[in-house]
Amino acid sequence: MEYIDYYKVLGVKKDASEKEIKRAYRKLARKYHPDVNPGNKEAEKKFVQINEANEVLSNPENRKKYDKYGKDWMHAEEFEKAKQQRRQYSGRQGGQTYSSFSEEDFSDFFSSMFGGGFSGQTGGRRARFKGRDYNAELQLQLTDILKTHKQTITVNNKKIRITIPAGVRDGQVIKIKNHGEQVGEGGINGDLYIKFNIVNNTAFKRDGSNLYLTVDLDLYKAVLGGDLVINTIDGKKVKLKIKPETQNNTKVKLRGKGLPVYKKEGQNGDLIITYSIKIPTNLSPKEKELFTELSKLR
Amino acid sequence: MKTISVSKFCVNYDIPQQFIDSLSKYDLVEIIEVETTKHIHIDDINRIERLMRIHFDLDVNFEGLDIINNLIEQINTLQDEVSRLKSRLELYE
Repeated sequence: MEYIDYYKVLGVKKDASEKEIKRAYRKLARKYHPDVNPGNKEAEKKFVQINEANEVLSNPENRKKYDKYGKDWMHAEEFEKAKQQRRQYSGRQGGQTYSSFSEEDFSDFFSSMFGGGFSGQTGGRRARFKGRDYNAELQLQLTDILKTHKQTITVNNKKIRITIPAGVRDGQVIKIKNHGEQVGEGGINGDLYIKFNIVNNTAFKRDGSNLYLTVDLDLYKAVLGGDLVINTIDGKKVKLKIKPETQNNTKVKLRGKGLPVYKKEGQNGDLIITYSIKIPTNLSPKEKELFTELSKLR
Repeated sequence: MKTISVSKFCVNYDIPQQFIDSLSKYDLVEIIEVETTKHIHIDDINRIERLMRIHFDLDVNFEGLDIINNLIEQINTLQDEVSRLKSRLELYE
């Protein structure tokens, strides 16, 4: 747990006036507020820091305490005192605070000194009709999305059983109604947004519901033709007929052997195979001789 | 389609009704008349909450809200595009 220089966080001098602190906070808040930086985790982190700094420095009592004990935060006795005082004025705070932050959004340093986060409510204006939406991320492997299946996940210590549709794409977000913050009677519960991170654990490359695979083909089979067995993503074997005189990078489309199409039951994308012809190496004298002979025929 | 009356919404959030009227003036929220009472879509609540925070917490005026709202929509579209292109790029890596 490290000491945090809140003055540095806000970019103000130690003797900055309340007005200067407020101005510095507003300026930084406009820049890093999560509402104006959607999806930017760095900005969110920064905003939590400046929010915390503002909570301390904009309140004369907290600021005094911070200035006095801040660097000596390890003195337990002072902490206890600070905690007791904190309890006394808890619930009367009215600073400008982003309402979605909870106690976990404050640093250990802050919690040690002030005993947890502030209420973060602004004069009652934050009485929520609709509960907050929760965001969660779920990591899946590419082979997990071949079939629609159910999975139990834990969000805010609550177990939720969700259906994962086959063919869901990487980065896709699904909304589960009413599984966000629960609010009292007359209000609307928040929603839960789950973002899927699909990790490709296969040799296939994905583009939507189509899959791409490059397979090696030996020279003789490419020239003379033959059969080649490949595995599809669902582990089934498919026998391919290689035409004589197949060229390098020839593409073959296997209809319906790709990934399931999202929310279209029974439909699958295609599997596109690219042949990569391998030229034999370490030729024996006999092979060299035969290749030379062949080259003379052309 | 579920709606909530503007008056009820404003009482819940302790904001002046004028705020919603101004949002409507800048086309930032759609107001629906239900039996002569003004209503808003429940699906718009998240967006209104965001605009409330930007307006009240960050002191941004309505012209600013309009600009920010447009930019956020653009960012969201671009982020979707980036993630789509990233997954396509993997094909060539």
